Amino acid sequence: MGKLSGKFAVVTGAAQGIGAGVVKRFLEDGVDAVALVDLNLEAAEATAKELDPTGTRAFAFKCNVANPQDVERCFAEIIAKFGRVDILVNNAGIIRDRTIIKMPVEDWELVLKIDLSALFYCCKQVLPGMIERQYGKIVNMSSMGFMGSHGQSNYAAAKHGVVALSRVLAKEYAKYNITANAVCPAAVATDMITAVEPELLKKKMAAFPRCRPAEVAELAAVVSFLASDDSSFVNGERMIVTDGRMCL
Amino acid sequence: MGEFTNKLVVITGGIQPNTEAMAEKYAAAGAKVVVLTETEAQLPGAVCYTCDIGVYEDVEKAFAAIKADIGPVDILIHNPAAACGKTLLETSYEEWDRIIAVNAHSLFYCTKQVALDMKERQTGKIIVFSDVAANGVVGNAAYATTKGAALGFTYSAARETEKYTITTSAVTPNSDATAEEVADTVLLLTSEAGRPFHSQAVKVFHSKLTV
Repeated sequence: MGKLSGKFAVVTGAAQGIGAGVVKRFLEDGVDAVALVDLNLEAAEATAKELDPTGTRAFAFKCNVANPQDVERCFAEIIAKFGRVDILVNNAGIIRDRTIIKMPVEDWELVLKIDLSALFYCCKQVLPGMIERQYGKIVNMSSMGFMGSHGQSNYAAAKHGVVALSRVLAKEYAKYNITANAVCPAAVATDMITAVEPELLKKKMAAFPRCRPAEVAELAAVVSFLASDDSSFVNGERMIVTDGRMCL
Repeated sequence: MGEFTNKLVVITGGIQPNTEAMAEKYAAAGAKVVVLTETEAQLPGAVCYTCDIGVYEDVEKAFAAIKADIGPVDILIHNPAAACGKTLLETSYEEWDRIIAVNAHSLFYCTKQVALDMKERQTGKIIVFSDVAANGVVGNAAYATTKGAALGFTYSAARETEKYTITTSAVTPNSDATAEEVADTVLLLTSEAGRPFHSQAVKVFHSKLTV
C-alpha cells in the first residue's frame, strides 16, 4: 500500500521531463492509474510503456490543453476509463522568451494560454466530480520565474497567475475537501538544463547553495506529497523548491 | 513648474473611482491626462480615447493616435478591472478569455506601445494595478488570477526597463483604501521620490494584512 493507493491521477505535459518524473513517482507511491496527457501522443505512450511495462496503470492521452473543447474531450475519455479523477497535476507549460519590445504578440498570448488558461480549462473538468465525492488534490506547476526575469514577461505573468489561481481554488473549494497548491522550482535537471553549455551551467548553478539544479525526482517527491493525504491541511501554498536559493 | 508639468499620463481601464482621482490629481499638477475607455466617455481634466485594450489592433491604433495628437507617453498606468464575479466553476470559457485579454494581455499590449519611446528617451514610469484578490478570493476567480499575473508582469517588466532609467511598480489596493489614497500612492510612485519603489508591489490598505 503506497500513499496514493486507491487514487486515480492525471498529469498534463507528462511525456517527458518533470511530468514524466511525477508519473514515475505516482506509480512508485501506488497510484491505481495515471493518465499521461500530452500533445505528443507517441512520446506519452513511450513514457507510459517505459514506466509501466505491464500497461495496466499508466495510460497515454493526446490533448491540446490550450483548446478547451479538446480538454473537454480528453478528460471525458479519461473519466470514462478511470471512473473518476482524484488528483490533477497541471504541469504542461512552454517558454517563449523575448523582451516586451521584441516579443511577438502571438508569443505572449500562447504562453498565457498554455501556462495559465489551460489550468482553468483542466480544473473545470475535474472539479464537479471532486465536489461530488468530497475529495480532490490539485497541484499546479508554477516556477520561481513568477518573480520575473529579463525577457520573461509572458512566463512571469502566467506563473504568478498560477499562484493566484491556486489560492482561488484553495479558498473556493476547501469546503469540499479539495486542496490546491502551486509548486515553484527554479532550475530542474531536465533535458532543457542539461543542454546548457557546461561552463555556463556551472556559473548559473553557483547561485544555488549546493551548486546544482533539483533532480526531477526531488521535485516529483514534493508533487507527490501535495497529491497525497499527508498534505491534507496544506492549501493555497506556493511551495518553493530551490534548495534555499530563493527564500520568500 | 512641478515635476508633472506637461507630462503625458495615459491611464487604461476606463473611468473608475481610482482613475477619476488620479486624473484630477495629475491634471492639478500640470500633467496632460489621457484615459482609455471602451466606449465614448468624458472625464474632467482628461481626454478620453476609445479603445478596447483587450484587442491588440485597437491598442496599436489608440497609442499611435495619442502620440500623433499629444506626444510620447511619460507615465503609463495600467488599471484594467474586468471581472465577472463568479467562482471558477461558474466562469465560462468566454468570460475567462475576455478577462485574461483585458486584465493581462492589455499589460503587454499597452507597454509594448510605449516601451521603445521610453527606452530611446531614457525615461518613463509604468504602474500596474494588482489587487489583494491575488491572494485568493471566493467568487472572482478570473479577476483574482489576472491580478496575480499583473505582479509577474510587473517584476519582469521592471527587470527589462531598469537599465533605461524607467521605473516600473505595482500597486495592490484593498477595498478599504479610498480612491484618493490610491491616487496619492500612484502619484508618489511616479514621482522622482518614488524611484526606490521600482520593481515593488506597494500595498495600499488599512487592514492588517501581512501577506
